[in-house]
Amino acid sequence: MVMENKIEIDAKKLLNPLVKMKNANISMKIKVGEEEEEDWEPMGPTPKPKVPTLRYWDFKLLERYPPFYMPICDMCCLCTFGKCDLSKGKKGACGLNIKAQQARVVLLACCIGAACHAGHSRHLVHHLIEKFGRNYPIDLGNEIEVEMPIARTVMGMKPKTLGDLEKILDYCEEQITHLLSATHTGQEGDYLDFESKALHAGMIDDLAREVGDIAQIVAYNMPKGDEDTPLIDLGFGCIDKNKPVILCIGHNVVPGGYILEYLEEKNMEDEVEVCGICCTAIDITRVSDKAKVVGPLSRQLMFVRSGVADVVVVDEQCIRTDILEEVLKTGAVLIATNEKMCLGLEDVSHMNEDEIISYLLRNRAALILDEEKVGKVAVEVAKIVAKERKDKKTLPNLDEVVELARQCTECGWCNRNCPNAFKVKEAMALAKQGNFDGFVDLYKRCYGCGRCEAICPRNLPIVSMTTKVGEAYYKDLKFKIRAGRGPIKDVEIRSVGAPIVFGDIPGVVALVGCSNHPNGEEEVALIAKEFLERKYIIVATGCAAMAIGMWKDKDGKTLYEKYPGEFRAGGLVNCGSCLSNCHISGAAIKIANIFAKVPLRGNYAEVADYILNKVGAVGVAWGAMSQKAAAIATGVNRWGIPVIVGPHGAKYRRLYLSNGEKFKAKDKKTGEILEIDPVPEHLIVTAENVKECICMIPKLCMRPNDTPKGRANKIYHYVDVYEKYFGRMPPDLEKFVRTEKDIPFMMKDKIMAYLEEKGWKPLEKYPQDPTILY
Amino acid sequence: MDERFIAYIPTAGSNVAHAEITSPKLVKMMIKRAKKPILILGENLEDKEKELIEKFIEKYNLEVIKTPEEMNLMALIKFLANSSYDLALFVGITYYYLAQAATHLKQFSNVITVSIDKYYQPNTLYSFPNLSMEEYLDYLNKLLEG
Repeated sequence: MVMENKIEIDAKKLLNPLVKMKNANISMKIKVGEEEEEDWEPMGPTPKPKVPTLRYWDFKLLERYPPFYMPICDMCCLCTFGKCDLSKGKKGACGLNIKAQQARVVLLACCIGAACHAGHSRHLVHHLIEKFGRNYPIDLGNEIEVEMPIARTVMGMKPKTLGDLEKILDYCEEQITHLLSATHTGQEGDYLDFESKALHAGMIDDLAREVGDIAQIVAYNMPKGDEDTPLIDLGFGCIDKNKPVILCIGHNVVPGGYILEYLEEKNMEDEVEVCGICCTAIDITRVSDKAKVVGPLSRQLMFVRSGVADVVVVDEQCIRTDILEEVLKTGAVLIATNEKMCLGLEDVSHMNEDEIISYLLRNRAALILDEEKVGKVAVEVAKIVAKERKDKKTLPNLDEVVELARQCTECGWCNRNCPNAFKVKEAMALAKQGNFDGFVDLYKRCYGCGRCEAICPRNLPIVSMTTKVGEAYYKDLKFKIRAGRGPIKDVEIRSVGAPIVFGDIPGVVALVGCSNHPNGEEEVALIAKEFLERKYIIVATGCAAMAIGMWKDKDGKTLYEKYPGEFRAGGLVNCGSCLSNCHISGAAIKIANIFAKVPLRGNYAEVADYILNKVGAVGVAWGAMSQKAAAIATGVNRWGIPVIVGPHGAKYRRLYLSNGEKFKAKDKKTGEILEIDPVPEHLIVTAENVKECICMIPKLCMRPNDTPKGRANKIYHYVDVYEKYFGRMPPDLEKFVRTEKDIPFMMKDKIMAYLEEKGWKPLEKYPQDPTILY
Repeated sequence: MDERFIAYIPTAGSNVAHAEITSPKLVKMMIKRAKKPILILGENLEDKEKELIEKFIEKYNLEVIKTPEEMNLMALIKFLANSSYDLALFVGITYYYLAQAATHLKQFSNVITVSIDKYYQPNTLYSFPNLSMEEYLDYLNKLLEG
């Protein structure tokens, strides 16, 4: 019996002993305060999987794609037995070896990422329930019936209200606690089991993100899968400096939402600029198309230093931890709004709004945990501060840049401390003569971490110098991004399901992740452009979605202006923020469900097996930086989707690489176990440069289920990009040609010549309905 | 002078052991003694450096794999760790990327790894020190002597 979702009583205990003695067969179900969940699908084998429930699936993956470790730290310093040296086969005082330690660190990273998304989603759901009530419906409209594919598959439930989302978060938090506890000294000791737990943490991360994004979509009335969301202004150049400017940084839409609400209420939307950096930027533009996106994470320090913002509102995640110091230097005001980032500030939440405004004007920074107050406070403070700061200069002018450069001794430590080893010293040397070419180049590629400044013995403000030169030389920093549309519609899945599964659409490329790029944002746009022209489906989220917008063709158009926002061949879909990554794995799950009728409910392994073998999708996190990105990648890996990360992604210290030889799979139709081509070849792999990344994408979109026509299509693109970027045939092409029928007609002669040289032999047989669940 | 023996990006090294500094003379001896040497050739070389490296390959008749053109570096490292190659030389690979990749061979193989790049690479077993362009060209020329 269930009463108001709180009290559960075993009905049998209500029966008196006499009735029990009579052995009466009584079946009863009484529900108060909650509708009984309908039998929408038979329950599968693994609802609400516990840590070891899906271990058998993980071990299948890990057998094919064994972990490849790069122990950049060969010690453990987590307990007082240590530090322990684990190098060259040595064990620590607790008995742990270096592989297990690497896997343990990966698990820790995934737990941090999953906790971050679960914490974010919990905050959103809690806040929205307070505002709208527990029974507020989850309604994504008529075109989206499979509202939360991850929740359906993992939880075995169909959430109907905000209250239902709490149950999912209860489950997530329980799992994260167990997973994190496994990293304690003297717990898990096997690297494969650590990896299985990391995969579990990744799955929990995916689920938690789905909760957060669906909650904000329904409660803020964000776009619900619309292809034609508005084009939003993007870039430094689109912010009107003549108005008061409020900058929101982070990932949580709540404070920014109140700012937009207050402006609308007061009819001041055109008087104050509201802009954002990182995912908050994307999410506030899903609430109002008046909001603007400054840019990705990489532009944070540069934009703050530029002094354009009068009030900076920070919420949570991916915010510079020295943001207070940086904002105060510009004379602006900082408002912290989240318990996860209090920055040592006084909590003024108990004061009324006018008192807080006075406090902020006196003290320039405060912590306000009641976000509703942030709306009025941020706007009114911005209006006052903007007047005060009207003529305030925060960056050096170009003459001063030259003077500063002349102080440089050219010791070269800036180059050495730069994570990308960019040529800062050389830019300084040129600037001494008034030549800014070096800084102009740096501005495009630098992600503004400030490590060059941290080590400069002359304390030169290198990021400010770079920002000034960029501001002076790039006059056209105005771009467009299509507002995040959220989920993919069921009808779109119906149209593209078959062409994706059979390979006629050569692949789905998901460009996601942070901005730790090896060469600036432009490369992400170039990856998108390459595959849009080839009629792949491109989906994007977060900082990668912004990076795609920060490039224009010769007609001055961004990719968002050139390509449609539909989930179809040649479509460029911006799903939204980091939370919205759930819609990418969600689309793969929906293909299994809507197109192939694979039941979702509590049926994780079968759905993942379908995706691994049949859905030609690949994730590209070219600038993956955070622990959240580690969790996201590991989560999609568990669904069977491969991921390419940029060269900095090697610092996550673990990849899942096959040995590139033939795989085995069972043909469900005949029951035979057959040797197959090694596709997808790896589950997570790095690429050293953008050429390699582009050449890997078509290969990682191949699946055993491809029809000969579909495979020929994929091989065509693989050969074509390899010839374009490396001027040669792919050196491993023979592995992916199963029979002559897989060879694209247009390339038949040269591919046959190549295969003969390699001594290629066709596969005698390959499965028509492949599975690794046997 | 210490700067010559600190990783070019100082945070690129693993904690316990860093590469021993080597010289062109020792590198030549290592190649001669090796049963099965290989050179992993990256794309980040200036024209003059490339020319000298090509001559070096020719002189010692070295087996070469180009990365990423012929193989992904990580897949290549995995392959080397389980191969019969006893000496692997690295040149022209993105500095921080090789720093990460080389840790695999350092921990999980007996392959002797040597960086013959311009910058000190802590995670191979042997490495040239940090060198200026002139010094580096001089080192590469010395590899061709004798």
